[in-house]
Amino acid sequence: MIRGWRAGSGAGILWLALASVGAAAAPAGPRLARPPWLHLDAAPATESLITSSQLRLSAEREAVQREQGFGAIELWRRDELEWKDERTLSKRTLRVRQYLTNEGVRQSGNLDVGVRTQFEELWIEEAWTLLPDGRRRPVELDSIQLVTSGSDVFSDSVNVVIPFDGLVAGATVVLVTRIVERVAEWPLPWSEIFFPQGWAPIERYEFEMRWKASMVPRVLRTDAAFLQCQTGSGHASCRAERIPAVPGQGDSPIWLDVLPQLVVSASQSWTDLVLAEQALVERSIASDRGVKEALRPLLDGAKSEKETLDRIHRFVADRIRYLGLEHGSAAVAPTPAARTLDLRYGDCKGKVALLVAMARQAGIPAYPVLVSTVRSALDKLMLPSWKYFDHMIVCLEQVGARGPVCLDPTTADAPTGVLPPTLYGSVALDLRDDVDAPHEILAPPVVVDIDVRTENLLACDGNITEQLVRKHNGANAVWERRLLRGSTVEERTRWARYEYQSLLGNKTDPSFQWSGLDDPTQPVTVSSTTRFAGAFTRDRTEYYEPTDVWLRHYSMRFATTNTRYPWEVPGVQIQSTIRYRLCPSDRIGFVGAELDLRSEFGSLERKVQRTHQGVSVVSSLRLAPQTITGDRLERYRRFLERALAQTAVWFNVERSAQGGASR
Amino acid sequence: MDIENETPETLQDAPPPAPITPPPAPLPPVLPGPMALWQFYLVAVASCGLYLPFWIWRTARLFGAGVRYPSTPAWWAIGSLAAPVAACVLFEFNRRATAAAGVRARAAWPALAYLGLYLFWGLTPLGHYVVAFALLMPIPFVFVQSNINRAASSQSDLPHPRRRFRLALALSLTLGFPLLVTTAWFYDWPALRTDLSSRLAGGDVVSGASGLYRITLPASGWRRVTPGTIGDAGADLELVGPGAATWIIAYTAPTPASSLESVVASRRSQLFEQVRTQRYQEKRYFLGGQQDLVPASLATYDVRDGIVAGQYVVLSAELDSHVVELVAYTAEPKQLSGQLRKLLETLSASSKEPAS
Repeated sequence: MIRGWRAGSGAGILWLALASVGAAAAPAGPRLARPPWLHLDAAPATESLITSSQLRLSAEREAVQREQGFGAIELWRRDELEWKDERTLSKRTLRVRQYLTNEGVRQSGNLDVGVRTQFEELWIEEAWTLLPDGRRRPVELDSIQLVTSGSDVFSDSVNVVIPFDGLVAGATVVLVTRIVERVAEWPLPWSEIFFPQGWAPIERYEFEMRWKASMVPRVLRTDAAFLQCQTGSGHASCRAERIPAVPGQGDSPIWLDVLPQLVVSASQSWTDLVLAEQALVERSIASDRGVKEALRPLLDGAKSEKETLDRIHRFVADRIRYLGLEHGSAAVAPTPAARTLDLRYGDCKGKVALLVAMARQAGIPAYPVLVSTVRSALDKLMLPSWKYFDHMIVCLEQVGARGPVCLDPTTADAPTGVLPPTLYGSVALDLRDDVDAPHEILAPPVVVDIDVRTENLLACDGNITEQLVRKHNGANAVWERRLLRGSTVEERTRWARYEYQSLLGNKTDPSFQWSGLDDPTQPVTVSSTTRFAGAFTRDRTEYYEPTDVWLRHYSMRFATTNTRYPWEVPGVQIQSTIRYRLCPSDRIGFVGAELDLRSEFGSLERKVQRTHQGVSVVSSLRLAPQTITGDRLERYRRFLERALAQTAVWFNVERSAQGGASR
Repeated sequence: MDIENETPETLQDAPPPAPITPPPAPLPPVLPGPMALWQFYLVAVASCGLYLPFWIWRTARLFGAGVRYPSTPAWWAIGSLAAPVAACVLFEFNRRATAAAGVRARAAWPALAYLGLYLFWGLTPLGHYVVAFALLMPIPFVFVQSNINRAASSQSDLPHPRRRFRLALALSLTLGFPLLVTTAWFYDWPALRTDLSSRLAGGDVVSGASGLYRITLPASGWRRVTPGTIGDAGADLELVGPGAATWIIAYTAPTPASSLESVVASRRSQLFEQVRTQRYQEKRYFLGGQQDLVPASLATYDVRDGIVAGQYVVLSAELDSHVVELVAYTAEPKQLSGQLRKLLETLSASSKEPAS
């Protein structure tokens, strides 16, 4: 080993030397191949209209921000929208960021700009650094990076990253960019959303929008109380100073539900948006060549509409894989249904178009629905805009149902009629003729339904054998199935053992079994058998005080350390049944507390019953589906904490003097 | 010899016949020695009543000389520990003493006085005091002793108290007086403090010394006593209730060192260890509905001590900074259990309780 290490280290030195020679010979950095939509003709820093006095925070303000632990602050941010005509929009952005600490440099030394390259062109007008000694250092434009991301969604969206050079604490960076958007080529009505408050303080924020008087008026709405806005003929503007950073939280809320926003759009209604998107989807649905042929064997023998829908859903969910090619207008216009069928892949819109096409061929009037996976606050949809939505599902009216029955064909883990839990309560826009407003997706009364059954055999020899069955029903099973079916048996065993031992100690070695992973109509069940050797003595009277760990474990998923932002709680029902079966010569003495802990958030109840062979403890936690606002979060936390502190089960066992035979 | 054939001269010569006298009466009983009544009463009280069994034993022995008793004097002494037997003893002794003294008096009245005093003691607040018992109950014995003294004064050859009896007298004083003092201190003094404490009315709101909580009395009949009167000095509040042996003691323990679970478990262990529990029931809920989200445990212990049945009702509630525990007991569970629960469940945090 030692000889090998010496030989290796020698080779390492040699390679290091060669590498340094190579580095000296190589260009200064990876050069950017400039695409046609990127214009890097930045003006020299010395010609900037921004004066040095605008690039430094006052000593007093800097001290305040340092004290609060900020490493970098936005000195100035300005968004300008200027309409040349109805077809072309110029979007100019100014960003000035001062670094207070080297940690600030390390964390946010780059600035970036997103570009949809098929419709937009980007000009970098200024990109330079004001160094602490007063020198202005331009960015090496060749070092600018273009980043696309996604492993199963591909598009023309590019993130242009500007790595500022020479950055140290005390430096200030300036970035001025202009994007020219060919609005008329985009298939949906124009709108933009800005967020005038960020994770760092903004000393000065300005927004300005100008359009020609002959054009359709532009509309501005904001819920940012700190903004002072003015609108007039052909222009609208807002400004604010000293905007504090968005307060963080341990448990993140749905950020887009709470961040102040500024929404602008051309004057339009929700119906305009619905009709535009509906036209795109209907065009794809109508392109259904081959759909009828594919349906014939699929629906052979189907006896009811429900079964027909289930077969179609299973086909699209299970046999069309998720893959999005969302370049250009394909970001909002679905691939034709026939092509999705042929390719056997598609994104959410493509799968929806295919599913709707198949359903309609089978006589089921399904319709597509735009959904946001990141928004649940309806009042934040201040103006009609497609930008709120990032997903599409299918719904249909079914006789006798509480509301529309909805399907998400992008997940193979949900049974027909059940959505992934995160979609319940999300904002949605039905793509139907008669729709003129968005709505929230109606959640079932119980989204998380977990049933835990524990059988404990307290044998005469002092050992306990536990048989535990944890059953995840309904929408909650979608989560569990997604987590488990994608892993190998070894992986899921390791995960299950870790979870079990973290609750019950690592002296146990349970064996696990799963069921329902491949059949979405079945609950996901995790079964385990564990033997606790020498768990109790054979004293005449013994007191047991086990805790209902699984009830507590699953219930704590709905606790939050969040104290500020609204907290979404789905309908929850967690039931735990624990049975203790005694050695025949033993008998139960006294049993512990029954629970009846109720609040406006939900309840924790427990019944304790002696059985002929032992004792049975049935506990149930129920939470109503609700949004808990900041002023009620402390009370909610208190309810859960205090209720779940009562989960200890207590009973005593009386033993005969002779004891019992081992079994 | 044939009397009919004897001459008169023979008869005249004979000594005169002895006067006809009644056959000798049985000897009067040997009475106990006289004792100054004040001295008798003082000894009876100072010995905490222990002197009286000795006195009965000795008197029964002396009365019993030559007389057949249904039992031995020792059994008279032991039996007199029961009030009806003591009354019988008083009757019998007084009957003999008045007969010996030639006094015409009703023999039964000391016995009746004894029973009357006994009932008076038991049925009035005096029943809370052992010392009252020790003061009252020797009185009928004093009257019996006075009749014995009267009878004894007619006899010159009064036996002196035997040496053994003087020893018993000394022994009873040696044992009895400390017993009297101890009982007075540990039993009668708290009872006196209880009786002297202020009576509370229905609807009154009571707080403990900590000021962390308050309870509202649903009915009258409760008195507040100094902590330590019933429980230990660590009690935060003590109330004595209506009926026999009904009380409430409140304790507080700071969180998070203590929790509802730990307080409940600790009390449960203690009661299971100390009293024979026949039935145990516990329920946990939010006190006062869901308004304050104060988790509480209401536990009921039906207990039996010999033939005496009782019930403990324990309400424990976890406030923000403390766990408050109200331990209630009643020897009349059928009558007072409901009232106790109702009272305990009026527990609420006072505004003084610091926020968590």
